[in-house]
Amino acid sequence: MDTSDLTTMLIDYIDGKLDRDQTVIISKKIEEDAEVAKEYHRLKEVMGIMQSRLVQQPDKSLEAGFMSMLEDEIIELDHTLEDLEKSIHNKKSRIIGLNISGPWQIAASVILVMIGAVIGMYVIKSGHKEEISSLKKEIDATKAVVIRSLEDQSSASQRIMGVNAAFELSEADDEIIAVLVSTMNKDNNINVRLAAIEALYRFSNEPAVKDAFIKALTTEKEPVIQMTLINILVNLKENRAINNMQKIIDDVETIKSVKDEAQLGIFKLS
Amino acid sequence: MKKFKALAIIASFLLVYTGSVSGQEYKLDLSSGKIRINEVHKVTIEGHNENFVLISTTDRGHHNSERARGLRPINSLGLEDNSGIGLAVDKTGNEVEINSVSRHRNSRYTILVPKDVTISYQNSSNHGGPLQIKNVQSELDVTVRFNSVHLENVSGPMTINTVHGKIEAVFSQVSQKSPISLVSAHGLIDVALPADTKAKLRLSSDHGEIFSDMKIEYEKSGGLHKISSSHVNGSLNGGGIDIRLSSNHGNIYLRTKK
Repeated sequence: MDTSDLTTMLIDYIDGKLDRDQTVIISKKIEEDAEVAKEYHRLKEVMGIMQSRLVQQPDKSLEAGFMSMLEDEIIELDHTLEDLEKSIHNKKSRIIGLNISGPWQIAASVILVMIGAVIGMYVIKSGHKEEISSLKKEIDATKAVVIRSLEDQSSASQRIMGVNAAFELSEADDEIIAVLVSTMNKDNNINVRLAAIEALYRFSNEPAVKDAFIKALTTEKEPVIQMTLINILVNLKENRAINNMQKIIDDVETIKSVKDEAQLGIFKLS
Repeated sequence: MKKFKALAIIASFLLVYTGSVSGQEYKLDLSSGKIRINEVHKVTIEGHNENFVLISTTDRGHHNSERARGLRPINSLGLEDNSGIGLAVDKTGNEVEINSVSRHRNSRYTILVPKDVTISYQNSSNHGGPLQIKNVQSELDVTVRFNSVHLENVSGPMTINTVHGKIEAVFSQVSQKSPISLVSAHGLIDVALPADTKAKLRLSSDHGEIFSDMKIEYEKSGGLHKISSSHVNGSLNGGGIDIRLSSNHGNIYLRTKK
């Protein structure tokens, strides 16, 4: 394996694109060969930076700065165009000797440009509208599936299917979150409630979801759900949950392994 | 006269024999609908192609005890042994509910269930023995605390959860109707699936390991998703119905069915 091959494989390894055998080979190499390990850490750092650059959103001031720059650019361009037009006009007048373009031609070209702009704007606008309405339709359809399935009291598996439909949503929706929170707290099947927690975890950047997780700790009695909630809140680094974890430890009804989990949670969060 | 006597002896033997059999078996007509089994500790559930439920046990329960002769176990829920085998069996419409009347019974009940009947089993006590489920293609719901659950020749849909027990399942095929979810807090989960199973996998073990010999197509990590060794999302054979295997402390084993 020469160096460039190794680098490529290391990059794929970091991206998780290697198959299992190759992964094993590379991870072994990293363990055994200090040079390779060094290269691996360097690449990982570089790729990490690249990754974070890729997802960075420009802030508002940048956008404003860019807009004003664009405006300046446009004004400057307008001036240049005007100058150019003048010079062409002068040249034309000089060459042909008389001005046949006249104001009509200018008026016609202005009208043409305006028609083009109007059509263009209309097309873009209607395209946007369609996009928005189809997105809204999609969300509404998903919502309907989730809510309808969750009403099916006869089949826990069907309700899980409903909860999983919420995974298709690309962004959070207040109504869906409310339905999932109520499923997490009230469904009479533990598997369904766990599925709801996992679906909510996807939207855990929403304050309402975090609050619901923290609140659920105070009412929850099922060990599986208690442990899952504690682990999730630790992952979210949600140190507002420490008090409620302490309450779980103090509760005489809590089983020992859940107390241990809560203890570990408090340790990790504080 | 001798002949008649011999016949009478045979007849009385037959009577005794069938009597004892009916004491250990209980039959109930049912072709579709739902069966709920609550707090019956050691149970084997098997699917069959008949239109009846057949419950059998080798235990003769309170009949065995000299002191309890002539008495019957009673229960705080007011349940009565109306089956003669220690169970309260109630049928309303096409729903059958089976409750245990006595708390401590040593022998196992085998319950044969028609193939289109959905099955729900619950046991919250620490007396629960391993639950065996075989040859069931209908929907299954199991909620237990201490029992382990062993499934054989099953297909889903199913939701199984236990706190302390392990879950072992061998699937003959995987129903694409609705999801499969197996959850334990402390126990391991060991599942064998046919190699050609189409499924979307969500495997998780907070404190354990995840093992598999199947060809999992791992979910691509879009910028926002955190990938960790404790959670594996992926697909089998291009994806299909959702299969969730999750244990907080136990290992997860996902293997190809041999």
